[in-house]
Amino acid sequence: MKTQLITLLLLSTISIAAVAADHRHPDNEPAKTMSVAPAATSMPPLAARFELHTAGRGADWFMIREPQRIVTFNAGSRQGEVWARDEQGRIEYTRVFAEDRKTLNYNDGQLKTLHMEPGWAQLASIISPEEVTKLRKTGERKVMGQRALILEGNIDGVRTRLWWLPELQLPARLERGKGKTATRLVLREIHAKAPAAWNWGDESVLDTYARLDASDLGDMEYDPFVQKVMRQDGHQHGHGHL
Amino acid sequence: MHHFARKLVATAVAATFTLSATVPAFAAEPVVQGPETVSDWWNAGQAFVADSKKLHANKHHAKNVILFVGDGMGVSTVTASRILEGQMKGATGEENRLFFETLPYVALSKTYSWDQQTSDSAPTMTAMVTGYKTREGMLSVNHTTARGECDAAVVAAKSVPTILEQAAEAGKATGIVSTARITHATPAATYAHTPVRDWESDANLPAGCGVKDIARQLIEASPAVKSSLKVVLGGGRDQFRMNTQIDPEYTTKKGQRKDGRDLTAEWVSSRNVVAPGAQFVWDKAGFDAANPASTPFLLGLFERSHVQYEADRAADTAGEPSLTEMTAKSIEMLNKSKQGFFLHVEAGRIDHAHHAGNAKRAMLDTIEFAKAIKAAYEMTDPEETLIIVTADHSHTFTIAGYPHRGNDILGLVKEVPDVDGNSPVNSVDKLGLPYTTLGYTNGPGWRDAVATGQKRPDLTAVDTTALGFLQEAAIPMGSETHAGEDVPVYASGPGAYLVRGSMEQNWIYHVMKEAFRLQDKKHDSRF
Repeated sequence: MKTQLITLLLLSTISIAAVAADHRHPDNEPAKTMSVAPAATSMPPLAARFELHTAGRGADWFMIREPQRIVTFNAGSRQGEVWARDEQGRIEYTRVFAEDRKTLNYNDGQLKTLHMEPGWAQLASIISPEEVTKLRKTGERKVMGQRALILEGNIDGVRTRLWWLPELQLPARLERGKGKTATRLVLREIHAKAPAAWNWGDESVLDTYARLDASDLGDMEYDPFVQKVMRQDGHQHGHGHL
Repeated sequence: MHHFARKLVATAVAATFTLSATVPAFAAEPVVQGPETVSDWWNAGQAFVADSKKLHANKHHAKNVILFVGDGMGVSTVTASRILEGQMKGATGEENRLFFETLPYVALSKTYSWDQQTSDSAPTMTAMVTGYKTREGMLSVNHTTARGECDAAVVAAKSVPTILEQAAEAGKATGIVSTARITHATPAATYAHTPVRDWESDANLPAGCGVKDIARQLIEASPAVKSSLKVVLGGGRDQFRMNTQIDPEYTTKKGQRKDGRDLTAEWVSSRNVVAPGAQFVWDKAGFDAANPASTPFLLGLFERSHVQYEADRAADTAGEPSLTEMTAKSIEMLNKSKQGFFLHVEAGRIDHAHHAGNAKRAMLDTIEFAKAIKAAYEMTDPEETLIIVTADHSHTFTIAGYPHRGNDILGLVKEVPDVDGNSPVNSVDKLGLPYTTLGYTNGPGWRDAVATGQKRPDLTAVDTTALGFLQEAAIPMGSETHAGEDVPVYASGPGAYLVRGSMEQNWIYHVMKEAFRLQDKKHDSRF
């Protein structure tokens, strides 16, 4: 599940629903309960732009990290995700379809049904801190004035190279796999606060979109948008599962 | 081992031991046993016949009618839930009955719509509450309505009256309870007329569309319905509140309406004109505080969208009443009406859990549905209250294999041991792998054989009884689908004897109409 979530955050064209339903998820791994408390390691708020290369294609991929909200957005697919945690610790997950001006909302009950209960620290750092510890340090360098650890190894059997920014708890570069099916994420821009133009996940923008409850998808198969989402989330190969 | 093969083995063993005059191996105590004695079977059968002879067709008119709909609750759901409820009580389970299975009249309902072999909730509920079958996705309009019809006059002309509206015209009190959004297809069919079930708030309407959204139709009902509809309880606050209005429970979220109208406030103000004291509540505390004796009108919307599954309801921070509690409070309010009442109660999320491929949540919601029906039965006079329990459509949910009596319904199949005294072991498929009793034809429970490198998952060490376990599906789909087979109808009370045999789903309306002795509509030559 952890690896699948990392893959998902890297490849924002793929919905978490599809990955959660992908039964590479071991049946004998219990659903992880969500971590309500903030991560023990400090994760400063930030807004970052990455270049995401996958299956020979590249696109800008954005991440905005706030204490109770994480927004990702793929400028190529024009789709994103918002994970939000309220004062009671309830998590709501929203998939953003900017071209369609629609959101697909998953409340905490729906997330439990779909086995989608990722740890907050994992969401906030793209690659979970626990998995970072599985990699072997092979060097250090500076990236954008920050100290970066060069780490290598295998995660879930997939070759992984990571330039890890320990102060920010964020990758500066993440490569998974080899050759044509490899995925690469490269940090290009970082801010303490999101620029005004990076507003795809702002509540003021999402409030103007049509809202769908994910529980309703099964009853809406006649709807062209729902058909598109279901095709996108389908059990098809070529999603670049790592 | 199949029954025939077991008989052969048993016969062969018996013959061997008869010849050898040693004690037969199968004289050991069977590990799997039902609780019945030999005479229990006979006595129960005789009691059933005796009870059947006492049945009398209650041909009086019904003072009250309650239509219970388990959304997606097909026969397999009823059977599996019955067994689960029995096993939760510590019994083998198969002999159990959910409360509504004790109602005396049973029929099968054919759920196809005018244009669907396998239907959705909109035309199916339309059939039940109007007496007419209609088209996919349409609510309480006839089947000549065009898809997406936005001319309000055309929709009005093609609208067909619902049993709730007719009960209101007849002076009865009415009520609606659901665990889904109140603007969702099944409850909405009782009060709204629209060609598109998704037009729940104005935010869902196409630009320039003249048809009122469903939430507005609840609030801006006819004068008869306004004064009759005493209680509406369920989910779906967002459809009633403005996109500038902070939600009372989720304080970082807002409503959906773009028209600047707070329909929850309008409910209160418009109903206060009829009788002062109308209330809108949104949490368990508000629900508990609403006194049925002194509250003339009650609107309760306990979630922004659908309410929680019964399995998750206890964890809801603001607290939500159960389906049983909502049903009970509704009846307390409606029972004040001397003319009687019509109440619709929906267990709306059995369907959602099946779409998610999650049998346990579907079954626990079904068990709660049965409790709500029991509460309603006990709170009303069965001689003057027609209770109908049915489903709108089924799901692809199956109960398969040859599990032994009392086998955990959520567990792996273990057959009756071939040899008495032996313990049951997992049955295995052609690959040598165990499998669950419950499964789905399609849905998210499909396991990707190519990606996993396993033709099927090995469930030996998997807790298949866990709340979130997704039963295997044969065909991969993001969401499991409805199924087209007939669904059951159970009935008791005045007019219940009219529920019989194989019925078209729209005949359920005609039974209720007859029980209420509602006036016939003049046949409209436009149709």
